[in-house]
Amino acid sequence: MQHQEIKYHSVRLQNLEIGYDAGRKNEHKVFGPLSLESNTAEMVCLIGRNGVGKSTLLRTIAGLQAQIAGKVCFDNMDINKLPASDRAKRISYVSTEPVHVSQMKAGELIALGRTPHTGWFGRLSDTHLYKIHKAAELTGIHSLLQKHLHELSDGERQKVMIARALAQDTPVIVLDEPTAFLDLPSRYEIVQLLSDLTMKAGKTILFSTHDLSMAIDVADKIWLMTDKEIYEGAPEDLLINGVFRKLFDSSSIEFDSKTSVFRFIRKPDNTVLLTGEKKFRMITVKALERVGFTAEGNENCKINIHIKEENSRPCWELEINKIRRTFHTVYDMTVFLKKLKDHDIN
Amino acid sequence: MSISGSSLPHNDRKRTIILFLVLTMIFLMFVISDLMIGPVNIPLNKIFGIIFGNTSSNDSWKTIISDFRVPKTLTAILAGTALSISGLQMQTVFRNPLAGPDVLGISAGASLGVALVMLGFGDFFITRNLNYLGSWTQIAAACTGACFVLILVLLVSVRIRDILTILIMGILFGSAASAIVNILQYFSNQSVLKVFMVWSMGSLASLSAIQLRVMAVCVGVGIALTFFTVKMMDVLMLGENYSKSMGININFARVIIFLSTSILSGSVTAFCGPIGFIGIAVPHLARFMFRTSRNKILIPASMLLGSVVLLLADMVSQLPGSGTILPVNTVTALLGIPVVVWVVVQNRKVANV
Repeated sequence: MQHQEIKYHSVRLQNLEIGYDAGRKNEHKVFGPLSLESNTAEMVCLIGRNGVGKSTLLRTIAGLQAQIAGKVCFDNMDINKLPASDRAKRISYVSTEPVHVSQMKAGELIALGRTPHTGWFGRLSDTHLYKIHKAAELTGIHSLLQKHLHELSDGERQKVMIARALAQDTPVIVLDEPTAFLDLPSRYEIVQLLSDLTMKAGKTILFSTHDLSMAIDVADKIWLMTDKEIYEGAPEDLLINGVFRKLFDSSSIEFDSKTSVFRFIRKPDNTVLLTGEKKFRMITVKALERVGFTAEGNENCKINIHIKEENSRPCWELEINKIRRTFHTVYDMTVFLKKLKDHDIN
Repeated sequence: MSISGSSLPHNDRKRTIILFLVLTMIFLMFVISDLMIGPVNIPLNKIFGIIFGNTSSNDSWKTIISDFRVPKTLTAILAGTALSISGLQMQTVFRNPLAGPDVLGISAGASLGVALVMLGFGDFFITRNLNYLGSWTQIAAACTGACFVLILVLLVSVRIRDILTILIMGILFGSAASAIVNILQYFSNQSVLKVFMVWSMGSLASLSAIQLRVMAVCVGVGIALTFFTVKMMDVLMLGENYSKSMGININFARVIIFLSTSILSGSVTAFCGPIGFIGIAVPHLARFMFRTSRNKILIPASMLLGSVVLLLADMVSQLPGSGTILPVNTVTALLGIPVVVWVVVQNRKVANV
């Protein structure tokens, strides 16, 4: 990959108020005012619950929807004051809804990305063809160009849509939940691809997602939208400030900032004494917590569990009322513990 | 640059060219056979002789060819072209494989326009409106009617995005237009009514030379507008969001396309009556044959295919050898409906246009 000169660009939202039917009688404000900023070659993840206004914000930034107040600025130019074709050379957009066009080939779709750059009849010169192939190459879909859209898998189709945005050759790409319809491996592939594009092609990429732990992994910046406020910062900044837990109203879920995952808060009502092999301790504790036991017991506990290792596989020796049982899988043990609970250990 | 243009997806170029050649040949064959078919048998060389100004033939043959068969063949070509393109445009704008001038109620709107003029100012038209004024009035009424329904359907489609709802709305508007037409018929006198009934069965053979000229001008304008919108139509198929994000002025595109559709389907309906199923079926045949979604290819392909299909329908409608003529309407329905059924069945797998 040759190094291309990366020009410095910025997207700045100033006191932006987003909503529907801007300027009409039934104007409906969804969110705002908000002020945010993003710079060149950044990956920005927009996070928030359904209905909080993520899509509206993205559509407003992409210029697809008028804002109620405030400005969206690209390099200090108000994008709403730019002619549509100039805006289309600066910001491209990939929507959530899948595109189905009968008899359309992947290559034809990507070629449409050149629209803002071509003339009245959409003739493609060699430069255009070069950009189209470049986009296909960056997204790794050269082999799919001749395929019809309905022959593609969801993941492949999403890559084609991203390639189309790349062919549009804009410094900023806005994507609305690009991983929404995808299976887990494809999700990671797409996010990996987006992350590559910020680094290799110097794109500023802004996308919404529900996958918080992935966003924390890959984003240069997170915009976290809650009902009332929007928080901006590197994922680590937000971790330090502890804002992620604001996504939930519930007190039975906590955000573990070490592993960056959400977990249920459980209140165990039984205790066991857990001893033995350290290697499997963590995993055993997790299983015990799930069925309502805590491993913080002492010698007086009625239940003792000892983890052993036989032929490099773990097994669990459980002792209760001097009766000893051995389990070879976690599942068997949890089934037994649940039964114990029902029969009242005490 | 390691990448050559030929590796771009567009190009089954060879296949496309061959298909166009084959279609053109079929087209020419059909034009000739359409000229030959009729109650009177006229040898092929005499037909050519008459068309190219050779005066050796007898007068009745001359009249049959130059006053009846040539205008009828030209009408079939113009109408087939116009209806197919208007179908392609509707399917693109509404992103709906089942859209077409007749399905969306546009033809019904055009009929309403014609009915208002014909039944309202009937005396004008009983004289078979042989003057330019009458022809233009009739076309203007049809186009206005078509445009009116189109705008109604568009207004609904802006509020309701569900494709099925839009189709149903189109059908409802169409029915409403037909109902008004029925009321007009009820209050009309017999002679006017008869002219209207004949019109409403659809005929390619009833155009006067003046009407044919007027229709040719309208279809020409419609086609010119269409070529103006090739690029926009390609992008519109991806939907509103993508079109906007690529800098397409959607309202402008819609206005041009609707203008074109109204003129195309309106002018055909004005003189030939409502001819169904060409508009909805032919674009699908074109897509299927040329295996592309690019309008640059689909527009000329639909034009050719549309002419071919309507010429075929015209030939079939004359029931060669029998001396009776069926309304061309019925033939296009019987030819077109299987295609539409096929599209509906296919659509379960492929979805959308």
